[in-house]
Amino acid sequence: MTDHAPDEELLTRLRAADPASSLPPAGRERVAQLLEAAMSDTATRPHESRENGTHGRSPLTWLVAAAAVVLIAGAGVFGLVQRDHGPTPGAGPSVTQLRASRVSGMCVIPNTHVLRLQTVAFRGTLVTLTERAATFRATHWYAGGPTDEVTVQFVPGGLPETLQARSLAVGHDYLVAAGDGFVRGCGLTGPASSPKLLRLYDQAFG
Amino acid sequence: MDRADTRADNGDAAARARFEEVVREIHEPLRRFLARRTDAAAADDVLAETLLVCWRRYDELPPEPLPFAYGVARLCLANAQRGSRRQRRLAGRIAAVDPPRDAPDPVGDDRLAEAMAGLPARDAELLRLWAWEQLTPGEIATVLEITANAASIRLHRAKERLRDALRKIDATGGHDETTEGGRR
Repeated sequence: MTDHAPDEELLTRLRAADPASSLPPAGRERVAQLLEAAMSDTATRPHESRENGTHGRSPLTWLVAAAAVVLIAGAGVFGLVQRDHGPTPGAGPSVTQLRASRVSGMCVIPNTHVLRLQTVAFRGTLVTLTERAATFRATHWYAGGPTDEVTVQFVPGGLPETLQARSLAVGHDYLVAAGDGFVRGCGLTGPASSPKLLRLYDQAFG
Repeated sequence: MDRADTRADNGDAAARARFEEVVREIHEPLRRFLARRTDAAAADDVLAETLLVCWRRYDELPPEPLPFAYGVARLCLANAQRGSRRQRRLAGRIAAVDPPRDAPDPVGDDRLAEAMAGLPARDAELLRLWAWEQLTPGEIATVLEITANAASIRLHRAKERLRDALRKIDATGGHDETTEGGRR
């Protein structure tokens, strides 16, 4: 018996119990409907520039965005994905869900132009912190939102240095920027006690 | 319309054409991925959301888009399930509701279903991705946003835990031999 035999046995047994094995294929019409629905989201179609992409959106677009969840860490980008963008009807405080992922690539020097390109930017007080997530109570929205709270899920593999769990403290204020739902490090996110960072936000959004 | 607009439109048309091809490729595997993890109604909703998110993140689609799309679907599903649980908590105050399961059991193999249900959620998901989506550790890493090495190690451990769980179940429930083995 080889080392792979137990794997093969397990694989065979699992595959035999696949709950989707009897799922009939979808009709072409349904696929066409889904395609149409996805690509009719023209306000967020590919190739839009970040600069005009946010400001020109209608309230309807944001509602669509609220319904449509986002999330994914693209390989090599920082991240935070914004899913419930906007209030949740009748269910407590509204929450923007973000995500922090690993860092890869180079940073540009933080500047107002780059900061302005972020779709989410807020000042918030850290209210809860676990190994997996941090929740901020938003006190000021510079871009995106507004929601009452923002939850950042930590993805194993790294966080912006400025948002490392060990450097976060409940009760303290932070300035957080995110693009495409991905938290931006590179000097764009950090403690609000930093005069340099605060000035950057004021200059970018003031 | 100036030249820049024309270029943008041409680019948009090319993106749409490619995205249609991508959807034709990933649609059916995504349906099955979701059917293995939630009920039919939720699967349909989450599939629509997943494709929407993939379109919005079109520029990030890798040449092999399926593991990326599984990752999107997984996160969309998690969000939908959180919303569903919240609604159930509210609805539960008024009337009893039929709680949908977060993930359907393996079918036709009660012992396997019991063993899978007893595993940590992370292990069960690794095993589903390995066996049902038939992904390599590298592809699993893309879905779960971990390194390929971590995926490989965790998958190995998950298999071991499943074998252990099956052994224990077999030891305590040996009367039901008909549920053993790779039933088809």
